[in-house]
Amino acid sequence: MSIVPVWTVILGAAVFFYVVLDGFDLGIGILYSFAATRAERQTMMNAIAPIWDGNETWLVLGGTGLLAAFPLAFSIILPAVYFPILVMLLSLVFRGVAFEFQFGDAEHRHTWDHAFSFGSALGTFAQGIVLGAFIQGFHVEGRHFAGGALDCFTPFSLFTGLALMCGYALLGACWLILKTEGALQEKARRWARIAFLATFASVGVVSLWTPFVDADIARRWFSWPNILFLSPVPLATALTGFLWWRAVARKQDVAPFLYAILLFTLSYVGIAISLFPMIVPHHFSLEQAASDASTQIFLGVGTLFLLPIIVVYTGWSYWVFRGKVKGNIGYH
Amino acid sequence: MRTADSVTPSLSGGDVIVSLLGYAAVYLIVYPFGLWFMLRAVKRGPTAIAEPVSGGRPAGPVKAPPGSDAVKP
Repeated sequence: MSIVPVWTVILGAAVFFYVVLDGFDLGIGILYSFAATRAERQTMMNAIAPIWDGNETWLVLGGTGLLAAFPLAFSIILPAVYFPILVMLLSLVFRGVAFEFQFGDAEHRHTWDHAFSFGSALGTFAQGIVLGAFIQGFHVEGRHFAGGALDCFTPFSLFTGLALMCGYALLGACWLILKTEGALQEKARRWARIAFLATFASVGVVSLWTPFVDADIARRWFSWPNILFLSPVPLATALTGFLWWRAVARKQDVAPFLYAILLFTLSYVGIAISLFPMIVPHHFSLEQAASDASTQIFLGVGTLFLLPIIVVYTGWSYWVFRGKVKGNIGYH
Repeated sequence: MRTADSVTPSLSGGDVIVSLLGYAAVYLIVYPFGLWFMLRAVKRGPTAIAEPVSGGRPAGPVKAPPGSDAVKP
């Protein structure tokens, strides 16, 4: 019996947790430069200071999980998106140190403000390029990536880069609605509406663009009887959008964030429907790219033991820092 | 397998130089700044801390103010 499905779920969950969790704190970085006052910026940073670095650990699990469980996919995908990954890592360095320097260095605060917002924005843009390039697929010969390092920069991937910035800004604004009150919360609602419209439009554009550029994806969605089983996905997306808008209009605190996560979930499911079971689109399936069964079992035992522990302590840290962020109290 | 045989086929020397310079540039900005930042913090010394709030039992008995009805035998 193959353990590949287990690793598929682990990897899928790691990427999903990363996108949603680091998504909202990167989103706050993107919105950061739109804040008017020092107090607002401080509150925005305090809203994510205790949890942002924990959120980023899911990226490590996703990357190492891909290397260990699907080495063939790793060896093709990583060289193909070499530069976006490089830009993302360097951006995240700036954004990460900005937390520490910004709190302690009043004279250069503006410099670190910029490091935080530009680092977040550029890192997100690069992640979106990776996503777009992945959906489009890579030039593979034999078992190697055979294209150039700049092939991943296409109109489609640049668009998904911008779309992901809108999406993360939406998650970030919804987190602010959840964690703040008063004038900043009102402002976050306005940001959230703008980001929502941009995100929703982008999801629509990507959903129409992918079947046009990729015949396999078009067949997957539009052939009979698939279209019957799969039509609930776009319908649920539209319904989620409606519920999101209503929750914000009713000034609810928690619901917009949950609906935004649901919107991301549906988009994620949509990508999975388009590409499953391929992990290198058009070339290698999960089963073909998997490492040896003994390797997967050995690593699976350790991972399945550790994952619940990670989930519990992550949940606990969110519980400890629950409630609204007050302007003058923060964890550095 | 020798290192030379395990190099990613698609990766050019130029790609590697660019990325290496990128890492070098970022670390040359962040680390000296961090060092300067820490040295300055040490040079300035600790800032005055507000009078700590004492916990535990009071040193003497706590007396009710005169006229208060808080303590009636």
